Amino acid sequence: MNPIGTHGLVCLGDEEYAAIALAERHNAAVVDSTVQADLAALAKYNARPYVRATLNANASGIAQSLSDWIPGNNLPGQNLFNGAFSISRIATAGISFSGANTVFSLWRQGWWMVGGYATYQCTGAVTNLSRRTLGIQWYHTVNGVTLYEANLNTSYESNTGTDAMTVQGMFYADGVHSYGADLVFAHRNSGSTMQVNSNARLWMFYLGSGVTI
Amino acid sequence: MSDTCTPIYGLPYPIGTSRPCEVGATSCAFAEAVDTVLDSIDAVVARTATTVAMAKVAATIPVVFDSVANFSIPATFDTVLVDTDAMFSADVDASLITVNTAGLYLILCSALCDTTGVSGNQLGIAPGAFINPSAFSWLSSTVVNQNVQATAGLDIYATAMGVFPLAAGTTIGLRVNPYCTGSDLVTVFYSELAAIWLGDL
Repeated sequence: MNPIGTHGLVCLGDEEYAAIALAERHNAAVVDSTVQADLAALAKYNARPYVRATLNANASGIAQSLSDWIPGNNLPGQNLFNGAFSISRIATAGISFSGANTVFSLWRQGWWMVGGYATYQCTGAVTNLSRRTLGIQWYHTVNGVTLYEANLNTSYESNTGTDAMTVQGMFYADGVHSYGADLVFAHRNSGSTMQVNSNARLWMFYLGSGVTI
Repeated sequence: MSDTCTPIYGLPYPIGTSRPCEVGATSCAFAEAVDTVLDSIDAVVARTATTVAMAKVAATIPVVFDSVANFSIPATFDTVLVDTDAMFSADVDASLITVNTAGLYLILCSALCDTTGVSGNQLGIAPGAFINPSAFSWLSSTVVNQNVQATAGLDIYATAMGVFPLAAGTTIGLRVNPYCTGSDLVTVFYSELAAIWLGDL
């Protein structure tokens, strides 16, 4: 029998017909294991985790935040998902949810696409041209020290006091530590507090391991 | 010997008049055809389940812009956060990601800047990825934010994303578009650009 290709298949030479059964059994086993492994890998890829949190009620009474974000630190502003929220999920084994200060926590190694969306309004006087910031905060704790990354978006209110914003980012989980994701709103409307309306959303999708091809 | 083969993958098999002593020809043709089919499946697994082509690079050295309005600067990247497909080379061009695996790509970019200025001045930033230096395809419209602080500047942040069909060899860059007036300064202290393969063309 002669080896063929890269998967361990064999073929017979002429006059080797006595070994047909042996060769067919060998090739059948090779095909069986190769296809099974490929299908398992593709099924896992096809069922990549997705999760979305939706704010159930308005987050009101948000006071202005005077500080800017210092890279590496906690985002100033209000974590929108410290109240009640609902979850939509697909293939989210390994992801847990908390209403305390973290919406998602996860352990799966790889790169995650994270996005957020919110509509918001002033509850009273509008400070013209004051800043609104919507940020995704991604963090984990190592030896008691919490490390923060963030992606943020900014807009400046003109005069109506009502607006909407999206924000996106791409973040890495090392597969060893638990990572959290928050959606944080901050503003500088000094004339009144602000409210983020219900249905603000934070979503997360697994992109891949990041292993080099 | 008279063989035939399956209609989809062309896997050969003997028929009733095939001679047992000539089994080798069919056997080898069958094994080679199966190997080719398995190779094609492996190729799909390799660019999906094993890993997808993706790169994320960042410019972490602050760049200060002084009293210039509405111009566009290519970001120069100094940090590679992930690169699974040899898409970035600082030695070749530190401002570009090059697509090596054709496909639909999610392009994501963001920037953070610091500003000086007083009430009424416009201080802004507009990150936008472009496809090839000579053919801009912006991900975002201009983001010009106004700074109304009386005595101190505010940080300005922006993110944008889009999906593009990209052929192998296509280059992607990030243009940072600071906007300031008078003697004000815009300091772009961080920007990043990412490209993630989503599927075949």
